[in-house]
Amino acid sequence: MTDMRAFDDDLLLAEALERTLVQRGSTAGGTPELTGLLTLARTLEASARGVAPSAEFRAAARERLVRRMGPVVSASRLGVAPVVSASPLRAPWVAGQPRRGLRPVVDRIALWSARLAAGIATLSLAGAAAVNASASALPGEPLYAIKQAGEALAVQAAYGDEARQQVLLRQADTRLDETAWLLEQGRDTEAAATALRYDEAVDRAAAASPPAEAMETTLQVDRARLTELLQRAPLPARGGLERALTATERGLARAKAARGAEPAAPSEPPQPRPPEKIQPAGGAVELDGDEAPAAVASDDQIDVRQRRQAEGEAHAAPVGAEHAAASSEAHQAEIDERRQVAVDDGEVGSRGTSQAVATPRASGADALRGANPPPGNKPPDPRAPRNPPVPRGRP
Amino acid sequence: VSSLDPSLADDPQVVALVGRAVRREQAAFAELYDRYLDRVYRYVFYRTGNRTDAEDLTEQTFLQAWTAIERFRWQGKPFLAWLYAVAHNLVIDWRRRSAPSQSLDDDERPIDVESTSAARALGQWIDAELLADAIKRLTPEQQQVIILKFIDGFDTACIARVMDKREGTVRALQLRALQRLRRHLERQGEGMAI
Repeated sequence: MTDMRAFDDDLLLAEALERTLVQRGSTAGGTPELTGLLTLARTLEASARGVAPSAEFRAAARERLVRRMGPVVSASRLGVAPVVSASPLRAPWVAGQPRRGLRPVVDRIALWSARLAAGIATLSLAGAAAVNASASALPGEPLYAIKQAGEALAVQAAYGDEARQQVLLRQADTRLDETAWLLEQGRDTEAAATALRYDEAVDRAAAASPPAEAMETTLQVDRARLTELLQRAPLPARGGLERALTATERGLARAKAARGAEPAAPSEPPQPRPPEKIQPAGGAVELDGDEAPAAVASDDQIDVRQRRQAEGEAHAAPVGAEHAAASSEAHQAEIDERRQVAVDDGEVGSRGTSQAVATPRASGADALRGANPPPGNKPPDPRAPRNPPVPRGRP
Repeated sequence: VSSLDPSLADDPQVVALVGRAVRREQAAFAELYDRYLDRVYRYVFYRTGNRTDAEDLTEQTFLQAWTAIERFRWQGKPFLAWLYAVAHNLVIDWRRRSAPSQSLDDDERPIDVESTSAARALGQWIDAELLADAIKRLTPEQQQVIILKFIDGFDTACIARVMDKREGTVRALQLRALQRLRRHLERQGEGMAI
């Protein structure tokens, strides 16, 4: 009886606390305990405003992350300082190449141009945060102008025709990324316009320098991507995408002609890319079961004392339907606090089960694990454990 | 509409970035880092109680997330919840390594409901580090509720979705967590007064 009364009191207090928090109401007239808890809640909220990592950590950790991720994507696309090349004033992709017989005066002009560009780049670090933030901006968004300005600067700062060509090709890739994003968002007209700007970038790249093998490779990838986009693009976007595809074919023909592999002619059939693993809004989510991680038992992680406590709470719970449900949840909450989500190096998934704490509901430490199947009566999906993180303590 | 529809779980830009990151596009993941660094840091900071460990674990969180991102699938929850899950595991490991006996589980001392010393003390000397030190003594699930609610500003319904719990359960967890925090801080306040 005493237990039931305490349970009711807690329930009422929890509801009152929540109500006052949501309404951001005054604590006047509340019990001393409620007042104290609300004060604490407000203090927590206020304290969070001043908690942030230091600027040094932010930059250093980002640099380490980029290094760990590997060298596949150029530094400029990641918004970080480029890798130091053999010649610090030359772009990395040019530094290893021999200079092509430029006269000393021209060389000096180029050197000073590069220094000027480096100076501009240094000054631009002041706005690094804005540039970073603009990297994902799409046409029509406020930060897009900053993104475009950064791209113009990159073209200006490129040293040599081949470097300029590479910069322009990367920008063409960016236009394709934007086109895909816009299509995903249903902004078809803007997607078509952006695809046309891809067209421009490819033409400029082709004009910047004699087409090289790298350009051919890039355009082959682009062609496959455009083909895939075209297959699912709605009518308003198709015109722009078709023109972009034509530009790609044109560039490919020029590249092939330039390297003498074959005469400029219609290119080979496009190679469609494999389907996206994560589909855009409205699409189904692929859940393959072939990567389900192994399960490892972890009963030892739940200490005996807590199990006893949990069992005791369960037995002491009221018999009424509401009380039973709430008590079961509270019981589960306590138990689940002990569980750990499994995210291993390169593998995220279930590590096993704990029979001792098995309950009928989805477990609690799943809290942030994003791995539980949706509630319902379906049997557990054997493929689900590949989604991180999954508890160690579930069957 | 499928409950796994990413657009229901997160901002469209995040959905697009995550899609690219899953395909191992480093630039996209770097943007996710920029977007979520502060929040992951706060989450870890309030669970470890000190900045050095928070920085270390935050960095590890993103490194592990990059390693595992290919396996990410939308489950009707924000992408941030997945990052928090990675961080959560690292914090648990960290707790086991550093001080496994810090939990308040043994502390069943009843709250003195008439006392207002905690309330008075809170306004005077509590700062983020002291709060973090207190929060890290809660059980992991209580920590999550406190951080998601009061540090991240999620509402109860969202927390319930993220944690796969009923809203009533989240409210109960919230109450118990705040009670324990208050009890701890009250003790600290008394200690200081002495």
